[in-house]
Amino acid sequence: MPAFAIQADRDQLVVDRLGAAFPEAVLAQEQFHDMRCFTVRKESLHDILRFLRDELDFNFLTTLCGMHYPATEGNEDQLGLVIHLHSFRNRHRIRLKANTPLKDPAFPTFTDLWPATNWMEREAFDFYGLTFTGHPNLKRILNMEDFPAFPMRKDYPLEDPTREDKNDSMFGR
Amino acid sequence: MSKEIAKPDFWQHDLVPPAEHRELNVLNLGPTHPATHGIFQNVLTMDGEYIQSAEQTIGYIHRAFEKIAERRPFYQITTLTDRMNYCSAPINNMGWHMTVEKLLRIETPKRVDYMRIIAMELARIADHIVCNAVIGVDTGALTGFTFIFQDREFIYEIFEEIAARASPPTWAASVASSATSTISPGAKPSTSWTTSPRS
Repeated sequence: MPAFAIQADRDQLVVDRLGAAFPEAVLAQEQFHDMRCFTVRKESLHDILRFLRDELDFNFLTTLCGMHYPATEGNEDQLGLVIHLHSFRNRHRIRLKANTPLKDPAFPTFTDLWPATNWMEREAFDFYGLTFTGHPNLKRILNMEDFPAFPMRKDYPLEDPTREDKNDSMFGR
Repeated sequence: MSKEIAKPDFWQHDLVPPAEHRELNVLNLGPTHPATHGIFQNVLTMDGEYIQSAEQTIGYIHRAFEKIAERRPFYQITTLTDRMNYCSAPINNMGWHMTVEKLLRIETPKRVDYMRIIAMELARIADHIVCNAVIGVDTGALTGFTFIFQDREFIYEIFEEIAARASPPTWAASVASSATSTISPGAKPSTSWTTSPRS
C-alpha cells in the first residue's frame, strides 16, 4: 500500500513542463513504485530546482543525499546527488538525480533556494566528498573535523582502518 | 553593614562595564553525557547573557548504520533500526522493511498492511506517552511519569504478544509471519493482557 497514490496526471504534467523548459537537461526518467525519478544534467540542476519550486509548486525539499558508483570496466568513479521534492498542495513527490565524475565533485549550492539544504549539503560533503560552490559553511558535520576519508564511498572499508585501539583479536578472529 | 557599601551608584559603577569595554565570550554548552538523551555540543558566542551565534556539533552519536547496511543481510539491519528511536522502534522497522520490499518488488498482503498500520500507531502513541512523561521529569514532576507509563505498559504488552519482547521489539518480521499464519481474526491471544494483574 503506497503511502502516496501514484498521481499519473501530475507526473505527466511535470514530464511535459520539464521537457518543454529544459529539453536538453533531462537525460532519463523512470517510474519506480510510487515515485517518478528524473536523471538530469548536473549543470542544469539548480535551474531545474528553481523551476520546480516556483512554477510547479514543489515547495518542500524532503532530502538531499550523496551517491557513489564505483568504477566498473569502461566507467570511471561517479558521484551523484539525489533530491526528493514534495509538493504539499498537490500531495505529489518526485525524485531528481544528477551524476558527476569523482574528479569533479562540485555542485552549486542549493541553500539559496532552500536554506534547509545547508546541513544536508554538509552531510553529502562529509560522507561522499561532494562540494557545493557558494555554500556558507561547508565543513564536516557528523565525522570529526580531521577525519581522513569520505566514509560512505564504496571503496572505504566497513571497519574503520584509522582505529588503532581495536584489532582482530577483539572480534574473535 | 555600613552605608557606604550599600550606596547604589557605587555598585552600578563597579558592575556595569562601560560600553567600549564590552567583548564577546565563547561558551561551550556541552558536550553533554550520552545518558542525557542525545550527546550534543553548542559552541556559543555570548554577548553577556545574550547568545550572538551558536555552532553545533551533532555527530557524537552517529553510528554509521548506512555503512553497516552496505554489507549485511537485511534482517541484521532490522535490529539497528530499532535503536534509531527505541521509543517507537516498530515504525523504524517498518521503514526499513518497506524499503527492502520495494527493492525486491514484494507486495505484502492487505492484512500485513493493516497490522503494520495498527502497530505503528500503537508505537506512535507509546512514543508520545514517553515524550510527554519525560518532559514532566525534566521539569521535576516524576509522579506524572510513573502514572502515564502504566498506559505505555498496555501497549508494550501487545508488543510482547507479537514479537516476544517489548523493547525494542524488532517487529517487522514478526508482524509479517503472524499476519500470514492461520489465526482467525476473532481469535483470542493465548494470554489475555487485558485482564492480567497490573504490577
